[in-house]
Amino acid sequence: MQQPCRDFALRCVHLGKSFAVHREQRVWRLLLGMETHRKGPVVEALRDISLTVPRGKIVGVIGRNGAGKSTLLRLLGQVYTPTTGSIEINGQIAGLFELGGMGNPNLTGREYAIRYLQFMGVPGASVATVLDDIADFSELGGAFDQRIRTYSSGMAARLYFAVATACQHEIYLIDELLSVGDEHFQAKCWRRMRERLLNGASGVLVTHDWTAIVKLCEQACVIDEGRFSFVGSSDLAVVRYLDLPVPEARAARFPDTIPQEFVLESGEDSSVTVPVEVLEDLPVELAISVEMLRIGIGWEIVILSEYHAVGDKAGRYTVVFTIPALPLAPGRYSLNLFLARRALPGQRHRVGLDCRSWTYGNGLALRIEGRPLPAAVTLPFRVQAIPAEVA
Amino acid sequence: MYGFNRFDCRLMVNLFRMTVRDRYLGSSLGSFWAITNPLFMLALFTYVFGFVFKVRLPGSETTLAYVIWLISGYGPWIAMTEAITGATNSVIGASGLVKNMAFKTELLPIAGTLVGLINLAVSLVFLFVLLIWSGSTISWHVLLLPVVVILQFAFAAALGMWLSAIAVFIRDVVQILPTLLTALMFMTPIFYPFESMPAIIQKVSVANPFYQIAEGYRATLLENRVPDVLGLGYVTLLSAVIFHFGLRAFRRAKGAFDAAM
Repeated sequence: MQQPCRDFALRCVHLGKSFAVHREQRVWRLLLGMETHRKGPVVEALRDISLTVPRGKIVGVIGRNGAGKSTLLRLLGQVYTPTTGSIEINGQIAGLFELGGMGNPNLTGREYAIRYLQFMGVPGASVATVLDDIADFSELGGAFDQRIRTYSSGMAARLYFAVATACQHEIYLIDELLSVGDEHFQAKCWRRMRERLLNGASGVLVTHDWTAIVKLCEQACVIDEGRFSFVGSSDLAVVRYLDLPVPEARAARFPDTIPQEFVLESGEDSSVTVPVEVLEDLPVELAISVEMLRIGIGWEIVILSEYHAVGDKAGRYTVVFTIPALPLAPGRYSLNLFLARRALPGQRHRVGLDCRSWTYGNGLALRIEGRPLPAAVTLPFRVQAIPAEVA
Repeated sequence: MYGFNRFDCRLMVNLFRMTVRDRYLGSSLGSFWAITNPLFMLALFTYVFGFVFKVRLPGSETTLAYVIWLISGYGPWIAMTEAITGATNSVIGASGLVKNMAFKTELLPIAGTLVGLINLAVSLVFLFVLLIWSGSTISWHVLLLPVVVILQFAFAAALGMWLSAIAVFIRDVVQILPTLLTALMFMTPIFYPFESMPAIIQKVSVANPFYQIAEGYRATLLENRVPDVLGLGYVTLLSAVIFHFGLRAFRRAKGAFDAAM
């Protein structure tokens, strides 16, 4: 999975950005580079940010409002000059910032699109096709030839998205982009982003919407007060961001001896053996799920069991899950285990006792080996041809 | 080079085309005005200086000779004005782009400068027509003309880098600029020969890069000689220094652009 280091679309090293607070009086100091940063208050928006975006991948940056997400995106898009550090870019950048269009609300939707395509240098011959595609995708109909100032905010957002993603660019810088429009349009946006990704686009997505991160990114960073507090796989980043409390594991728990990774063979009868320690006399149940991250779609649950009884008395147990002719394609999955106390009569919910799950940041890895399969899941099947005269 | 890569070059071409389209194809007779405006100004100054004031060049008694000489200096000057004004307005005029698109905004003044090329082309074509009509000889020295053109636009871009960044914060620049440029025009020996300036001012005017550029045009087009290498070398050096520091100033300031626009 890991790309060689040289084959990156975008890389920044030790990036930092400070803003002088009273910049109005400091125009000449700013232009002449006179110690703007020693005198007067300075806001340090970003500190020591290092990030590598491999070709064909979207790296997520997740953080709360004011954490420096948008500043980072503007630095990467060369709108701001970094105070420290350096940026290297291999490819044409398309920035999808606040989707403010290009400022002139007196343009019609079509004029705006044409302007954008000019800016991006789309050859004249293909402009007409792309325009048709934009008109079609944005679903503006007759409004496409009306001025943008007559649009509702939703219509404008649809136009901007359609225009910005009409052509395959090499690097996308996306700021909260995919939260525009209604459900129907959002689904279309996702589909389009997925297409662009499959065609080899790279990018950076900054957002506070963690579902978007797990849908689009394998790698993600958590940004907190201008610095990365975590860099790693997107599921772990989301866990760090959400900071969910893990159950205390007092009444029952998975012992520390539990393997961190299970390896199974695709197509073989397989089993997963899990040790469980029950410390109090409680009716304990266990559920298992196998999930996989599909880029552009999100986490998909491949297997989800019901809760099964483990035992009512304190003691050590071993739970064996058996999956006949394991129908999963080779690859990496997340194995999640949940221990709960059975709901007592009159109670509606189980009480969680312990878990191993990617949503809590302690999920177990499941590696499935074997011959590559064209589908993620294959159920046992048989193909039989029956001659017509017999039927 | 200088933090620019091939994507930036491609983008600059796109920006240039956009600016040209905005400048000339926006109005219904856009391309008509592109040609007519410089020609009208050339005609006006030809009338005033050639026929009203009856200025003659030393050693030549015809009005046509003066007109050709005038246009060879004034044509490039109109282009220079256009280039510097275009560059100065380039960032303010593209506020929508600056705020919303990911690109190196320092390309804007360069693209804005290049718009002056259109104007220059019109003047030069007109000038060549006059040269051929008057029966003047055009020697191989005309091949050096592109060098002069490149130096002229490099100098304009260097100034534009500063002016466009300053104009974002101090809008007055846009108001003062035409007046300043007109003053500069009359201080530069464009309508009158260098020799007719007072001796002291001649010494100062050698340091005027606009004069050196005008001389470059006249040397290659009219006088059939290699332009003053020292003079053009001076323009090159000056442009390089102004551009270098201008680019640095621009890059320092551009983070504050969106707040000021």
